[in-house]
Amino acid sequence: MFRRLALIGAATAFLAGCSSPVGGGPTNKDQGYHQKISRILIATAFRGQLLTARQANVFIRPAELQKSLTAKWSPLGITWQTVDLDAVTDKPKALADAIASFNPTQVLELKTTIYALVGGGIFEVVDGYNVDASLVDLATKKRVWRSVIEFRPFARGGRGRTGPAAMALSHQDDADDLIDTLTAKLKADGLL
Amino acid sequence: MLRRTMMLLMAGDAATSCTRVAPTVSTIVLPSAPPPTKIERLLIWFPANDSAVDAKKMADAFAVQLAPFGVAVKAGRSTALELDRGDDQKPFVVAFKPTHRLEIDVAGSVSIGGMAGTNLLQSALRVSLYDANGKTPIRAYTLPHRPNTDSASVTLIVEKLKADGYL
Repeated sequence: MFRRLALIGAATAFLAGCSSPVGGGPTNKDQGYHQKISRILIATAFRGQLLTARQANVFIRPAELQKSLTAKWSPLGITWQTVDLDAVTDKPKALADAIASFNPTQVLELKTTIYALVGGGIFEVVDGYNVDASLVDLATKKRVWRSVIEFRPFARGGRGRTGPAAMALSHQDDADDLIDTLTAKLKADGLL
Repeated sequence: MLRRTMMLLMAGDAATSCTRVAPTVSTIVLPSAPPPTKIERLLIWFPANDSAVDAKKMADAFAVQLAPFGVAVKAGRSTALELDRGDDQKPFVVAFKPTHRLEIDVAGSVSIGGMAGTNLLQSALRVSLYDANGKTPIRAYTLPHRPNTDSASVTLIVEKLKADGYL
């Protein structure tokens, strides 16, 4: 009886400590900007300089992001294309080439900033991270909107992003949550 | 066999992590940078918060270390979720009339911890030098930075600026 109560208590405490795995912080918008997103290039730079290739397995893969965008933004009538800046050495050129060929109205730049590590030695893995999201209007070449999206560590968000022995996992859930969070924020700011 | 391999991996990793290599400044090659001109008045632009770098300590270190070269220094910082840095810098540019701007950005930070809390381990800084009103950098460097090493990081940046002909 006591053991059962203790287990129920522990489970309740754990669930109470978990918020959603992906969450958004404040946003900043140019109050004079009102152009809705219809043709957008999404440029991702998730892999940071401070991480190993194995640690970088924690991030959303291009195909996973594209699957989320197909499911969530295409039905909204948004024409989009992605460019993975982690896959190239000359990032400014790759971005300029993508803009020239796709001719978007805006670019949404997604790049990681802070990484939270857990473990140690060869088992040191990324547990959570932040993504800086900046919307740039290409007519003025100015940033018109910005936000930070938090991919919460396991202890706070309840989602593990690395398998046993640092094995890579699917991050489709993270990709879906990222697009859902961005959609909600951009709609709230009148850009979608 | 597996156990032996794991032990060797862990030993190797422990050995590597125990040997602290001094940080170095790496130069990012910029294709059409003009010839260097001496910095006379430098506006230094810091990140929005002090989570990675201590802006006041760094600004003070720059003032001290650049004084022998006759460089006047003024510091400013980004706002949180900054949109247009140029607009934010305008009052500084009008009042201080810099010959150059040095913008310090945190390209990434790594912290470690868990339920007990987090500690910042290391950041990657991107340091970009501009002409007074330039929109594209004329020099750019990357530098690993650890907490409480602000003065040492400034020394490395000043040495790089001197080597590149700006002081």
